[in-house]
Amino acid sequence: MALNTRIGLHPALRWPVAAALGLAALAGTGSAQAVTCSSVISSRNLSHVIFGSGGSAITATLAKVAYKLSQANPPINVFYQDNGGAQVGYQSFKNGTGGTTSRPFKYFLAEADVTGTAPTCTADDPAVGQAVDFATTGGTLALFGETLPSDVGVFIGPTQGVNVIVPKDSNETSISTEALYSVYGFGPAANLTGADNPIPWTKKEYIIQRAPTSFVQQLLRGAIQTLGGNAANFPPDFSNAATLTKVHSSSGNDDNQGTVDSLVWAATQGHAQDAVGFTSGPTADKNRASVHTLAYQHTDQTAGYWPDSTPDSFDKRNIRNGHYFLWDTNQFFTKINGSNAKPKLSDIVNEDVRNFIGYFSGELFPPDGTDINRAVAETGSIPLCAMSVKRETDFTGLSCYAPGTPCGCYFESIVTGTATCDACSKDSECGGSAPKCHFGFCEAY
Amino acid sequence: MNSKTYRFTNRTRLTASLLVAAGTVLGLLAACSSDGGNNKPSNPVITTGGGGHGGGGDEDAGESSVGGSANPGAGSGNKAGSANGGSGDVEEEGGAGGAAGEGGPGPISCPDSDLGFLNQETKSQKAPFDNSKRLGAAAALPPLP
Repeated sequence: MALNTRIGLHPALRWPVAAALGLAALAGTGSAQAVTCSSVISSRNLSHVIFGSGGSAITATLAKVAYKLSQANPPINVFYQDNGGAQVGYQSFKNGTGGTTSRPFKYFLAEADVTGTAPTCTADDPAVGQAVDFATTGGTLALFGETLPSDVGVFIGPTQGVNVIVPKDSNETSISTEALYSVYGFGPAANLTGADNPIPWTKKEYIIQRAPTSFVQQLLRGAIQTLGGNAANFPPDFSNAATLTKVHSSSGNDDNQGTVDSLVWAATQGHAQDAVGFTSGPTADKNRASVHTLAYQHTDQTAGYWPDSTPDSFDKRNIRNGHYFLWDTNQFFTKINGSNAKPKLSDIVNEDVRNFIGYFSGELFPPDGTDINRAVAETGSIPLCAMSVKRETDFTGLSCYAPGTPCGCYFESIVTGTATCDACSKDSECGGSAPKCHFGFCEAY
Repeated sequence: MNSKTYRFTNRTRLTASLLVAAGTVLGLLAACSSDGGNNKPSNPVITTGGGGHGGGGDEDAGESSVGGSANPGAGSGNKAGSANGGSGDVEEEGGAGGAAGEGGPGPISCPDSDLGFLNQETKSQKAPFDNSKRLGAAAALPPLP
């Protein structure tokens, strides 16, 4: 449901009137969550509005991109619901039940909405919900056993890592697939007989899991299943071994930040060594002051690697070149015209959704002054143009990937704060092995 | 008459060279356009014959390029080029190889399996996890409770 509304007010009057309307709405309801999105749209005089739903792994990135696009000309104003995990978000899209009281939409019209707590709003009928224009999940629908309706197309967006994390004061530095099988399959029942230096993660209250509807949990489950044998049917619900994030999350919900909150709680209880969890890469990066990421050693891999080239860097080099296993590419789902076998952007029904997804995937250049790649990079995700590998499925089929317009140099300049390639403004300023100027840096092609 | 001139006045050899070159190009196009599997660049993106520059960074220097390795007769040490081109003549005609890359996130070459990617050489920091020492009996992956 895209809304293209415009109220005939003089521009100078719009903000004061909008503020007054907003305050009135708040005063009338007594809580921000009870505000309907239609009242927000009306009071803010918003046009080009789209509604989305999905998991919280991408929320930090989506929020920043949404804010940037809300300031663009023409704008796109995104309302996004992420409570309940990626699968629940997808179902809200599929069933047209977005913006209920328990799963309100967040919106990002000010910078504070990105850096702080985003305001929320509901459908006009918050018991029933409303239509949603797009859904997004961290990986494919196969992770959740969901199917794709014939009138819905899949499009890809940025890449994200999934990080296994421990409290900052934990002495642990790495974990393996086999260890994940033990921790999340057995918990306290693990038989570590014969271990010279047994893993410390055997106390259920400090082993933290997400809900089975979350992308990060299903990605971890799938990684464990690649072990085969007894692991092939690893269950989606880890509850025999672990504790849900919502028990200790600051929001009271099951979300990526909840894993961090739970580990911080464990540390305050004197159990930093016993605690382990997993979360989205952006969430782990944002919380490096309180948690650290473990290097992950996939089965038959000769060593564990961090998503970055070192534990302290942000370059995501080991995701970008295929050393680090726990990553996936965001999927966007939206209504299309025609077949969904190999849909094109132009098949997308809603023009604002088409542009939004196209900016995210890099297929479309965003409006002047709206740097989507920077917003993606700054929030811990990886734009596709900075990747050197891709996967055919969530877990297998790694192959080399060469984006049409590479941005690896630009990406690293943003996330490391250091220029690792020659700067340029045009091709003639480049040469040798890096003759092409893209995003201000000389690239190989 | 130098060897290069001789080669192209010899019709048989010229034909053979062209066939090899054409085969190389077709082979590369097939490899680059297929879906699924490993060792297949998703786009035949480098058309300049550039060398192994893989982007920014100070690691994997000079070793990492996705596209550079896919061009016949391009950079020296070009695994894909030599494997597919297979002809010294074609490589000679391909011109000077591109300079080695200055770093970047790309793999050293394009491995032909998932495990090849996971275990490719790197200067990234490592943290081995010893399953036997850390898991003991659990390392054998016993049946789930």
